[in-house]
Amino acid sequence: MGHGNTHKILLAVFAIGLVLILLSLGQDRSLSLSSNPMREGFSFFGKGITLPFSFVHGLWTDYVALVNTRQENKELRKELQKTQVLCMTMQEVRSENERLSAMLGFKSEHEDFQLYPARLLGQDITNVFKTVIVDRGSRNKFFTDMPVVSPLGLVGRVITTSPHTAQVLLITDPNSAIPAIIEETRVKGVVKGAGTNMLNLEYVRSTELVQVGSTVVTSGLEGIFPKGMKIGVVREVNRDPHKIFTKILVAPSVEMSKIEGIFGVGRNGTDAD
Amino acid sequence: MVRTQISLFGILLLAMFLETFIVPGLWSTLRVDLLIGMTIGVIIHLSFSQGLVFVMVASLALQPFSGARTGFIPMLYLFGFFALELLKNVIYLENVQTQLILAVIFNVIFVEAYVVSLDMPLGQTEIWPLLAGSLLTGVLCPLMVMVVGNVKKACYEPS
Repeated sequence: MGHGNTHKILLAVFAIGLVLILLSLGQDRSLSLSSNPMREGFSFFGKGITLPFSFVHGLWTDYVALVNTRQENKELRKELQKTQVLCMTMQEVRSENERLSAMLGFKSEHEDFQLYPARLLGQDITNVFKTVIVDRGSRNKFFTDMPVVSPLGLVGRVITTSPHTAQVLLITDPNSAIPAIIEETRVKGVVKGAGTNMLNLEYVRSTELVQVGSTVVTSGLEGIFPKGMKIGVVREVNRDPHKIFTKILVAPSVEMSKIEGIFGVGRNGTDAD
Repeated sequence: MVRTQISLFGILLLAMFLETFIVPGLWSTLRVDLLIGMTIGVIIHLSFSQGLVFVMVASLALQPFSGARTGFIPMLYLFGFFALELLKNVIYLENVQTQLILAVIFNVIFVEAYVVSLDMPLGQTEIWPLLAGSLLTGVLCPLMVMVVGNVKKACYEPS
């Protein structure tokens, strides 16, 4: 066996050994060697690249795109008058809107929580796993297992942080499991990501009453997510008399493909880890 | 060797930016794998040790951008590297069509490996973006091979 071949075999053995060591770390992401420096570098690299585009976009939207503003303004005024008339006749819609706004007014209703805004920086490199990278990290009071929400409902939880970035596991990821409760009937279960844009509500007994259209919220049992956060709406219920549990499909209230701005939910007085 | 590795790593950063930011921005469920093309490129243009070092470092760099189990992504690319290293002696990797087909095949294998590791059925809604992603990976593969070749030429280093 030549010197070259020995060299190759040694390198291959080293590489395989390294992979095996990494695999043995399992899901303990805090031990991932390359996570923080890579994501930090990527964060600055990404911001550096997008900055000129943002500047040009701002220039375009604030100056160039305002050429037809006068005409547009006239049309909008007409539209506004029509809308004002419509508004007077839509008291019912207004009251419903106020009710929904109150439901969504998470911050005012949960005074013991602090919301930390963040923007989406990047998405998972595979389309099987559902994680996103956001532009806020441990220096911005983001911490591991921090719940992440949008005004429409629960988005996921933080799984790793670096000083300026955090990785968020979306509720649609197959690795995600959240203790949940059906708001109307108080039936308990576990919401798991289906890997697609849907969720599965599991461990609900076939004898329990579950209706399509029911709202699914967090039960707060796990201790990570505060109680009562909206997860989604029951889309499909498949009962099989021969099985203990019902198969329930839940549509998430947040469309994961369209999220841009999100909020990390920290309890008042919570520090970054 | 160091200059080549640094140059390739710079290209990888740009590729990662495309994979995680630009491509999902165009179609949220679409993903393109540019590292497969670079892996084929390093097998053609660089020595075994240089190629292996690059593939290991690059796949480790990709790990923080995925929800996959730690070490899973390096394992897949290492498998790809060894498989292609063996195939190099059997088929002409320099052929553009071969590169395209191999990239599509490896992309499908990798996605299938992710799905198997999660023990989940592949939903119907995800099939089209997967197919489009695999095809795009194949189409972009010869370009990435060419980029690696150009880096090799520019660095004037013996392999």
